[in-house]
Amino acid sequence: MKKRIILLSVSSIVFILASIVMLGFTYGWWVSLVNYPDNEISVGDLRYTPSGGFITGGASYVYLPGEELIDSTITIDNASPIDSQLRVKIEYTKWTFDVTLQSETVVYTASASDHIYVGLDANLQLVGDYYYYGGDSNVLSPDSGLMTLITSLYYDGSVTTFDYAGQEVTVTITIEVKQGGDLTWSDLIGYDFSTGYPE
Amino acid sequence: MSKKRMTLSIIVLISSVFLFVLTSFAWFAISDFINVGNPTIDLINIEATVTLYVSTDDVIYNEATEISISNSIPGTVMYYRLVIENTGDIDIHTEIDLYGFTDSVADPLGSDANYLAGNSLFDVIRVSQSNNWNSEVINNVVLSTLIPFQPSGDYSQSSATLVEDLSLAVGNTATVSFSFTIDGDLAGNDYQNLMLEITSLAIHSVGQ
Repeated sequence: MKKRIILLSVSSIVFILASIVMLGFTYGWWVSLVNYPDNEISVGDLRYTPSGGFITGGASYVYLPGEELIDSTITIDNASPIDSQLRVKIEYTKWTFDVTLQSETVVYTASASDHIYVGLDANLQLVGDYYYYGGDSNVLSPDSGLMTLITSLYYDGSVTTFDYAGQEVTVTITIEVKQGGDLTWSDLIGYDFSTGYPE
Repeated sequence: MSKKRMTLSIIVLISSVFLFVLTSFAWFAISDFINVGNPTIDLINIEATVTLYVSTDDVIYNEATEISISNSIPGTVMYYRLVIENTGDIDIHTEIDLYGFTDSVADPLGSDANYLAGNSLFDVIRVSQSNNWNSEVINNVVLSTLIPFQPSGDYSQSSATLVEDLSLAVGNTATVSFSFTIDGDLAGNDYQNLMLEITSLAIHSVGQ
């Protein structure tokens, strides 16, 4: 009797398993799946490494017109994986005497009224207040490498007068980059130089 | 007691035989015997042939094997097209899904700060979908809004449906166009060097 029960149970299990297999086949005919695996969307980034800079200034530094302010040539290395654009803005303190002695922060545009001289790389082209590398519509290729920006910067002794004696000056170089195409510029780095007069 | 067990065993056996017969019947029910007197048997089959195309300008499309948008910038738009043909023997319903989303750093040589900050392209990619078959459309919707929110932040098992139901009769062909846009207003510097991996673009078809 016990043997028969075992036999019946085994037979039942076989039928159930066979049914499951059959069900799987049947379902298989009813479903089709086409799959495109391994998809990805990525956004590139701006990878610039600046180097070079001003001489060491500070509140007690006495600066003389004609003295070079650039300690080492300001360069930038572009290792970005995407197209990008670069521009530079140079601002400095300008002292003038018009009834009273007054100072203002002005943007360097290589005009006759500028009191500083800036040795800019020939690729930098002035549009508005900014010098654009290769022009304002120029796009730098990915990983375009090392670019020279500023080789020299000093207050021009031929145009700076006694008005500057004992006054503080500040020079700021701002380098901005952005990806090619849309969107706004963002600051990459700012160089500042300032002097004071010893008391 | 033993007699009761015997009776139960017989009942189970009969039930399993009945189940077997039913499943066999189901299998044969969807089969079409073209020629009964001939050994050739043609089974009804569900088969959808799918081809994926990609374009950068929505004009010229090339065949593609995956969705791949690398080193994109805010404003980038990539267009895709799926051409689905019902090459089987019965009418089908087709659903198209993007499945499994995982964030990562795009280039290990770049900064991982944005990734570590928890920013995801999920929130800045806009999706559009339209097709020539039904009225289902997705109109420039942020990808994250197409996926149910996961408190764990793990979307590797989540899916976004591009098309819910394309009903294709035998021999019919539908074209589904969809695009991904990196939204210039949403994606700033804090989304640089990020990647969103999508495990699969899946096209499921079931018999009607």
